[in-house]
Amino acid sequence: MWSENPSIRPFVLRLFTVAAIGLVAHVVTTTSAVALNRRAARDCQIEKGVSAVIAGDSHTMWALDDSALPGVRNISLNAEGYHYTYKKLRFLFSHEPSIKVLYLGVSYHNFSNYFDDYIYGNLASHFIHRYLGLLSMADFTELAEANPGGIMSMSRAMVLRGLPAGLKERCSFYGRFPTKRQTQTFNIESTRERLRDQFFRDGQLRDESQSNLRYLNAILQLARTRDVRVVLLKTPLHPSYSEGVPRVYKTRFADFVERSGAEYYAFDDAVLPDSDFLPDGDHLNYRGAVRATEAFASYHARH
Amino acid sequence: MLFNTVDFAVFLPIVFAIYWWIPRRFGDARNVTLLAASYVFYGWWDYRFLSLILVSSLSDYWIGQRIATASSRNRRRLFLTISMIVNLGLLGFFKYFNFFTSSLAEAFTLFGMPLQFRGIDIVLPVGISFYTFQTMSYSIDVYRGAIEPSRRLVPFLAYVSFFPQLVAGPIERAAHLLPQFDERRNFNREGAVDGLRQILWGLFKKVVIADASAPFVNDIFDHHQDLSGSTLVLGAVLFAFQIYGDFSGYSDIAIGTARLFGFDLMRNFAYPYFSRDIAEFWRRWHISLSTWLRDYLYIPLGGSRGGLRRQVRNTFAIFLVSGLWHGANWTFVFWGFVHALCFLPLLLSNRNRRHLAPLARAPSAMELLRMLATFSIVVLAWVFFRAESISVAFSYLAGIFDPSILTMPSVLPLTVLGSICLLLAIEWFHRDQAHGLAHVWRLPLPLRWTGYVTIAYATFLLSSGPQTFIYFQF
Repeated sequence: MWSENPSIRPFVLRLFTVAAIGLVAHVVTTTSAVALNRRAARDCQIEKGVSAVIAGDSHTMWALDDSALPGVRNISLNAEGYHYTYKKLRFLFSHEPSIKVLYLGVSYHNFSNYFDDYIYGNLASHFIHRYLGLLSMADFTELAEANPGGIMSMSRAMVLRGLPAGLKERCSFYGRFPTKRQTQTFNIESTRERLRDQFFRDGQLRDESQSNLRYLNAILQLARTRDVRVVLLKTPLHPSYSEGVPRVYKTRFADFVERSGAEYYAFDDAVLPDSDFLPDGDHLNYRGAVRATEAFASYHARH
Repeated sequence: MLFNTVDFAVFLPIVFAIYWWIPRRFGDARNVTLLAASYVFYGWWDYRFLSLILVSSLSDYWIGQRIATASSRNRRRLFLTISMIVNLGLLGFFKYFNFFTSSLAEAFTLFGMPLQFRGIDIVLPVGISFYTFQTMSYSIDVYRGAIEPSRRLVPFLAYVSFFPQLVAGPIERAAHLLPQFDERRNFNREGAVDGLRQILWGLFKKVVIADASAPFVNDIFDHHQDLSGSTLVLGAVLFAFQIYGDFSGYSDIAIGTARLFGFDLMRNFAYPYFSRDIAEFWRRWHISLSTWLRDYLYIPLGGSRGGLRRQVRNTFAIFLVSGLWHGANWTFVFWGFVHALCFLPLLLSNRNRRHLAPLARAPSAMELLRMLATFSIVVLAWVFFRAESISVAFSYLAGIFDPSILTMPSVLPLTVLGSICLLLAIEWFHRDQAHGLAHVWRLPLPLRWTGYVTIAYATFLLSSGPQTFIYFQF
């Protein structure tokens, strides 16, 4: 019995005390990271004269060079699911009333649940730190409930990555067209591997991402209430990639575009050779981005 | 389950609570608890592995008793041989079958007689190299009359499967560990507190040093042909600390965990990178394996007695076996060969037991030079240990000895390098202690607790998710 070992109780009590101190320290640093990022977010502003934004993930981030698009700002970020795009736009529309047009990147892969890993799964801790300034307590609770096994890794990332960003007062949730030029070109094997990763798991077709669908609709609703015009953008895809997308995802995509009632631009007027695509077939390299930006600029001017 | 996971963090307190709740007078119930916990721990990897450890344990339990009651020396030797066959057979099949058969096929091909070889898909059971050696040492010690055979099955099974040291050592001797299962164990608060400190220190080495070095090491070794000599040196040095942090960290966690239950495990590492020559390195690195090979292979072969030929043979025997023990690849054998080459001159010139005195706080310039030279040799040898093949290792080494060694490395992981410097400083300060946090008890309580929380929190923050311990593959 524990009473035979009287020194166990003080040992365990002290152990719990030290652990509790550690837990309190973690709560304090995590809260500080969030507070610092919220303070930095207050000063996050889009440049004056911008009336249109491009939002989405790496597909729009790498395809459209906003330095060549007067009045347009590309705020897309790598691996951004619509969960975070919604939070970002919610913040943007309330702080930037000059924004009248939203170009929203949407493509076949956005309907696959592989995206859920970036928000609720193993990769969630890689990205949450970017959005600390935007998330409310309810948002954190939602993420924790959806991914209870990832709470530790997410809170760790919030301190390790979020605290330095908050201290430097960085605006981490608005992306930009990258300064580093991507020069690699299309590769069929990489494209096939990409299709397998995005649309299949263990040889089985992946399910639809309920999160992305939910927040896509939420974004459209948000834009409506804010009187912001929405244009759905499907950035150019290599034909080998498009042909490899499972039919069910093409159907989901087409149904969504039709149901949304929003305008839609798929760069049909930009004919791009193999050398304009990155090896994975669904991203553009720098050359492709130049051509896509030209085509987009023409569309933006006409509409 | 890995030590640095939530699974183990839940498992350990439960086992601890149940174990000490059991009254002292029910000593065997405590052993049953440890045995059950150890089987749960081991089965967590793969429940099929349990059958192997049971076969090894039960056979040596039975053999130990047969050896002790055997009527003649020949019968005793027969039972010992059976023990060797069972344990080495298990090890040989699961670990070395594909290696030996593919090597044989390659040898035949080399001589113009190609052999068709198709490997078998064999899962290597975690820890098999450790517990087979542990049970063999029991049989050998019983044969030699060094210990009495165990007559109680539960303590013996618990000794073989004791979860803190089951999957990556230290390789315990029956004479040291087995009697502890028969003792009445009282909770020792000082021992438990120091055990927790040792666990914390082990986690720090594993997470902050080993896991943090791993991505850089992998990247440098994977792309070594495109990198400068200085970057390759950095890669080799980082690997030296990766494997040290990983393996000694695991040993510290194992020893500290055992102390929570009132057990004393043997020391496995004694700050090997402070060694002044290769002989001292092997008195400080993986002590449980090197002493095992000394006592059960080197000395029976004659040790350093006899003529030059015997000494050379015996030296190569233990180092090549040591290399082979680490893995089924010629790179490990070659690594052992390199160490044998470095050790032999010391042995033959009777200088292998020069540095037995403890390290002085302020070493002389000559001692520092010796430490640096020994460390350099060890780092270069580690290249063979880490590389996929001997040719890749030689290619890596050729890349080091290139004029680009004088340029700045293309990567400079300052956080990792800073952590390594901190590790060396702390371990130098504790060079006469069992672990790097042994002196902490001298600090006032607020400072102690601040230190614990800081180290634990840093370890938590820098953990990128549980990485397997390197030595689990052995």
